[in-house]
Amino acid sequence: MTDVEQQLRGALRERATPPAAPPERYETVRRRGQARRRMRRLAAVGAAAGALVAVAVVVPMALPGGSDAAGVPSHPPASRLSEVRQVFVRGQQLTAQFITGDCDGPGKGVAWLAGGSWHLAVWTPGSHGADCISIARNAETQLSLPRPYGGEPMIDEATGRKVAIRGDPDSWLPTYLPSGYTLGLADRPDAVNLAGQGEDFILLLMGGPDVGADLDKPGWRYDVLDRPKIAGHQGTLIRYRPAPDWVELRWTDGTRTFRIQSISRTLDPRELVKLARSIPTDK
Amino acid sequence: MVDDDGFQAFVAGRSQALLSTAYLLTQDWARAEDLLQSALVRSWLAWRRIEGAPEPYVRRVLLNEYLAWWRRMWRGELPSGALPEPAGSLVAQVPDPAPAVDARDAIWRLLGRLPRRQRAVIVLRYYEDLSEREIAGVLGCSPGTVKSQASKALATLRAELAGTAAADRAADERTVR
Repeated sequence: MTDVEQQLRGALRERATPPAAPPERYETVRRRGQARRRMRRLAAVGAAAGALVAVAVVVPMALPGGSDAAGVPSHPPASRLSEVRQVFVRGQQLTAQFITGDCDGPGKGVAWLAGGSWHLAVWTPGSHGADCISIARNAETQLSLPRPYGGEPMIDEATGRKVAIRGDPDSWLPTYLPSGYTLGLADRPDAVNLAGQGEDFILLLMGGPDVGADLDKPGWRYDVLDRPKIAGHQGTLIRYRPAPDWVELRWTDGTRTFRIQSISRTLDPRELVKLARSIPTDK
Repeated sequence: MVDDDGFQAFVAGRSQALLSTAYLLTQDWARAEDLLQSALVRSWLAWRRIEGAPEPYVRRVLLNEYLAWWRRMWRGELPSGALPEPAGSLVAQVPDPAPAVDARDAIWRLLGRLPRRQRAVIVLRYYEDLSEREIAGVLGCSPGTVKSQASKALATLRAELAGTAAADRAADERTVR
């Protein structure tokens, strides 16, 4: 055996001893200031690790004024607005839908007519910051237009872009929400509810424009659905379906790395059997 | 009916050793645990067939999982507890500025830079002490391929270690002057 081979053998044996505890490498993600820690292995993972998609919040809001001369109703500056995803109008009833995070309050909005165009601003009170990298939620606000919608262009104040008007609000939800979705799942995906229901999860990653997700396990399937602007921040909306025995998602926000890790990871033989039994097979 | 007791006994008795192998492949304890979990879960599904001698099968699943996992992985962003690597050659990239680099540390880091199949061969050969034929069985290739992969890996390690030693000597000389 050559020197290199001996060194190799020594190095491998020297390294093969597990540490007393896994190294802490990941920042804790907190949601609403509350870090939920369920297992020792999850020590580095916070409660934003959820993947729950909440249903729409409806907050009716009447418009002040209503004509070109009525002025612009008060609303946050464009840097705090969210991007309108879809707008539905029936007569004077306008429904604006947008995506927000779990840390924010109910959606709000105003619309006004100026220069022959409708202008629409939507937002959610609350802070979309580093501590709220969490869960995608459909927000919705309903407004009463001061006059019936007459086919004028509708401008999103957050982006300055024209928004398409649609007719049926009910057609929107399936765009992002998996069918059969129900509330009441644990806020963190786990082996039982994922394997049992084959659930897709929709997660909103907030951060800079370079937010990236790293899903690195066989069985993972994910799609980047969209990169909406939310409360002035760039968001990345992903839909993913974890493998039955695995739930992990990593993402980066600038220099920080976050990780969602399954509570299912275990080397406990009984848990492994449970996991294995949860895997659907063709047999 | 699958014998849960047999499986549980196997996991209890062998998971530590298999975890070490997984770690040598991944060089990350968290990933090693993940890898082993996947391998064990998949092995359980075949437990009825492999119960008499499960370890070769489990090891094969572990290796296949490792190779397939890494193939599919998107490596654009990777969490790391290590400092960024300085630019330079393969060896110079090793983030260890200390002049007296421990040879085993250097080997460990260089091992992490080998192609995954070569790394798998090295781990199976020099940690698991498997023969070329056994490694071929685990990896599903010919013994000749194992031999050539091992040879290439060793040649790379030798060359890089020689480069390290030369760089260290040069650094020492500069320090003396």
